[in-house]
Amino acid sequence: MADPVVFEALVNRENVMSSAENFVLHLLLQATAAAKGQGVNGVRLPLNLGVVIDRSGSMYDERRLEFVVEAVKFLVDNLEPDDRVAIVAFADQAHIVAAGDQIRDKAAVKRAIDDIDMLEIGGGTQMALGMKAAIEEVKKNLAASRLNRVLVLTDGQTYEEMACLELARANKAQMSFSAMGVGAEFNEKLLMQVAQETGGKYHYIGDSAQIPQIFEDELQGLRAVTARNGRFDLALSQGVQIREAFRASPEIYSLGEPLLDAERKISYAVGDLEGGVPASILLSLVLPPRKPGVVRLARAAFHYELPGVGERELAADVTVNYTLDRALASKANGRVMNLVDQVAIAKLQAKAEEEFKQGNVDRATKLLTNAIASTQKVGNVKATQALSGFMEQIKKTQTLESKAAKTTLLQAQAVVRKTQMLDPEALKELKDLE
Amino acid sequence: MIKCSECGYENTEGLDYCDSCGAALTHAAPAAETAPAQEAAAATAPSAEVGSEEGHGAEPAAAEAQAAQAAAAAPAEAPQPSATPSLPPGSKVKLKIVRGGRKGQEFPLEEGNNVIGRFDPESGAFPEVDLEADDPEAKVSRKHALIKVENGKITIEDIGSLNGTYVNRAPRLQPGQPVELKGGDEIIVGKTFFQVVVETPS
Repeated sequence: MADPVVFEALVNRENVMSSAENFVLHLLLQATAAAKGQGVNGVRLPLNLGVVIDRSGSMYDERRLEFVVEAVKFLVDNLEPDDRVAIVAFADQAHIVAAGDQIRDKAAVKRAIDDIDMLEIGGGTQMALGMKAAIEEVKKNLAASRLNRVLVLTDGQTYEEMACLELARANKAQMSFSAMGVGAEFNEKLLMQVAQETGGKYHYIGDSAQIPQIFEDELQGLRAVTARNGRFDLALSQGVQIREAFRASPEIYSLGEPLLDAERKISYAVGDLEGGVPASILLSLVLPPRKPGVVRLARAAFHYELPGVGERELAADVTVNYTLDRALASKANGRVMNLVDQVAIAKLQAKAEEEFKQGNVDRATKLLTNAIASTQKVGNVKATQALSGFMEQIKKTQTLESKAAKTTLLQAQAVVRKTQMLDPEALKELKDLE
Repeated sequence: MIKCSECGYENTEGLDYCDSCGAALTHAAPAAETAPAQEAAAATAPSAEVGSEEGHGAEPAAAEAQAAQAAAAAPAEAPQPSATPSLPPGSKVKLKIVRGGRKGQEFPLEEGNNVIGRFDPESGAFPEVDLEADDPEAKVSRKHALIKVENGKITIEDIGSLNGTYVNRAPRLQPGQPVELKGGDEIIVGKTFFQVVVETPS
């Protein structure tokens, strides 16, 4: 059977100048699992979910709670008899609305969800309590053959933020956490970390009417998983350093300080793979000067589990040719460069945000101007608009305190974070060609 | 090192954007005319270590590197690998089929307008890049896309195609909104994958 996962290790330039200086080379590691029905067994993975719902006072604004209730009922309606979903509401306390295995009686579960606003649990925000209760419920039905995930939705700042992050970190080996932030008052850094560190997804929901669609997207994403526990392993040759590592698809975000172990190895877990959605990492390497010739930079591998079959590994050697031929060395891989461009934009947006929070408005504006020049160059109209909107806001208000400023910031983050991938139509054309 | 033309920051070679201000970097030819640093005992050692291993060996290499830098400071004739490329005069631009249809087939592009499409029997017009032979399923519109080579730049725009024009796997181009191209970029029209090839006079 042909491998259901395609693994590619591509450098942005296959030929580099043989010179007297260190230089930067980008390495793209990308793994794409085949979609269900495209040569994959299509083993159905039962779900084991915990849904954590914020029932603080602010959730009554803009019909937020109403939309959440609708979304969760939709979720319940679309589960199979062997799926498990526990529903937890939290405010000052947490309350288990439905335990994991009560899903057998969908009507009763939906009635309980309808009564969420009758719960006497106060009006504050103690998200850690909600997460803890959901985690305990998910653990009761935990199985390696299940997709185990906690979905958290909140619209505000919570007490004990560190406790929330620590709960996610402590349990990430057994379950992933997806986090949804509604409105403009939640802590996006916290929700991003909870999701990105555990293999889940972070969603910014500006308009509460979008809540049901986000839940539907989460469910579809889980149903589309065809390969599990993906991990890129890299062993670098002597002299090669990593200066930066970014997740490059389906979302763009920093992977923090790259730390090689004693054997010059490093690993990056990318979670479960949805069929047809490439998971990729972009590494910026620093290479030493060398005389002309082909050199191996690293050995790269992608490790994953095929449900019902077992563990698999795909490997590739990463080489580069040092040359004195300038014309040869000027050729770049368009696909890799496109991701380099997109990561550069995301970096600039994050840097501008940091500068602005420190009060350096001029510097933040300069960085955003350069980011916008790039979004225009790559033809990303939405990103150009979102970044321009953010820049106008900070020029106008000079502060991030207003709702308008926070909203344009969250919108700008959301747009540059989402990798611009090949259109589904063109992807189909690609499949026909293969 | 590459000096940022906007803020003056010295960036490591190979970078496309300034580490400090994020501006796109324009590359001068790296110090490549001279042979690289003297033979390193361990071929894998980075340059700093090499310098210390061979005491007086480091000096000629440093002097060579400096001379090369001075030479590189003059306007470079090498094609820019990225950022805002400017085509040197006398450059040839082509589209080469890398997948689908007649793989390897090259279409030289002229200065000015180059229409990508198919022969139009009604008007009798042949586009500059005619995909009639490569497109049996008629996925390419008669007037599909337009590539302009002028003022040292290459741009592409979709001129109202049915199935879309794609550059480097980004979402389809909006008709009427040109996007800049550089050597190595990938274009998809119908089921044909092209690579943009830029040949500079040596």
